[in-house]
Amino acid sequence: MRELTPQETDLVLRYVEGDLAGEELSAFEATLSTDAALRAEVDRFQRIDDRVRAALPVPQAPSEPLNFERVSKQASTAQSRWLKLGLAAAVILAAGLGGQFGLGRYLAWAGRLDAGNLYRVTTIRFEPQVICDTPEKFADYTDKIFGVPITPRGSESVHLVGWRSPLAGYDPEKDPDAEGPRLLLVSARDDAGQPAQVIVLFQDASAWAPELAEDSGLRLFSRKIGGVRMYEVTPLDEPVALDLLERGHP
Amino acid sequence: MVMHALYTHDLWAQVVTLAAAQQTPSKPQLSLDEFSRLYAAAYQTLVVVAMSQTGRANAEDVVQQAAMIAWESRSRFKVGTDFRAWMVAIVRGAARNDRRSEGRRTKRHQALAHEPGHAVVGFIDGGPGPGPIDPQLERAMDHLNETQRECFLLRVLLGRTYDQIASITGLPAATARTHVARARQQLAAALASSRGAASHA
Repeated sequence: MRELTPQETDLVLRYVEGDLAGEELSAFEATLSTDAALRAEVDRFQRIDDRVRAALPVPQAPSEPLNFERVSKQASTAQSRWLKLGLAAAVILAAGLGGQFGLGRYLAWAGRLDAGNLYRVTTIRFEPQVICDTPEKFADYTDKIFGVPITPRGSESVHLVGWRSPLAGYDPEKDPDAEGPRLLLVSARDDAGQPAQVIVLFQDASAWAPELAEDSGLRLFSRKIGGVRMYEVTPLDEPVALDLLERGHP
Repeated sequence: MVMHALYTHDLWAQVVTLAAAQQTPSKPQLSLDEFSRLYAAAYQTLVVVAMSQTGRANAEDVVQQAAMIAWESRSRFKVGTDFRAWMVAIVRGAARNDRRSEGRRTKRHQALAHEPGHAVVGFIDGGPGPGPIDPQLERAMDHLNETQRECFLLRVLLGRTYDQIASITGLPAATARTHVARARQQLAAALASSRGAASHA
């Protein structure tokens, strides 16, 4: 069978699309009835469409009404614990930035919190007050300060750096901001001592992914741990700190 | 020391203020009923967008995850604007995360499979999902780029007009039309090529 010209192929595609009309359509259909090659090409494209429809059925919207409130309540129970971490961790951000940048300069520079900027500023001169170089120390520390032992598990190549926190004496019972910002920030370092990851728990991180352009060199990973959605911003191909925390969370 | 503490406290207050400001609704928010209605109306489009990014198996999970994210961040949605377009952007982000997770799971799966004493029988987190109905077609779809796949699937599976595809993808309608035409040609070529390879084998 003869090969079609590019012009004929274009006509076939427009016909399959339903784009031909009037005289153009009549002329094409007349040719179609006598030209086997043209007919075969039309059939081929139509078969592909049929095959795609058969292989990829599109489900109807679920008939059950959405019930996010139930999920939110479950999450908020866990978040009330994590909130304590978040409050302290936000201070880590402040403290970490205070030495080199100053938060004012950071805010002016960043405009707002976003994953890329948060990663960059917190991996520059992050000087923790407490260094937990074993999982046990980390768990003891989080237990002592927040009443939640978190034991990172499962990696020797990356360890979590402790928290620079002025929150000694922080009394969660007096926390007036139960619905306040939820922001958990942990810096992890690799064996070479380079800051490797920043984990951030933030209620509204949905807009981050589009901001992490492919050429930013950063990736955003998400996982639900203890009923709370957590995000890890990292230059690595895989999340490391999320894995550690997930394994360590009861 | 005192100065340092004050300075730190001041910084802390700024972080709290900033983060709280981001979460404080300053405009009307969608109610759950409104959200559900808009979500249901957009559902099929969202699933097709997810399919074009992650494949059939994970598409519905990705959309559900995106719905959770969207609900949690509904304060950022401006009531009266295009809900579907907003959700599509979130679905794309969720799909991107899903692809990376999938890659990671596969790598772990492969690594474990080579480790003595590990008989890997499946993925723990979520499972592999339904298998491909038409593996040859799925491989052919891989020849298309994401934009081509998205335009093509919106057109073929849902019969969307090019103006509708344009509003979903953000592309000009004429560009969407070109993507669909090229997708058809590339799919045809890929399927013909795989048939040829199969007959040679």
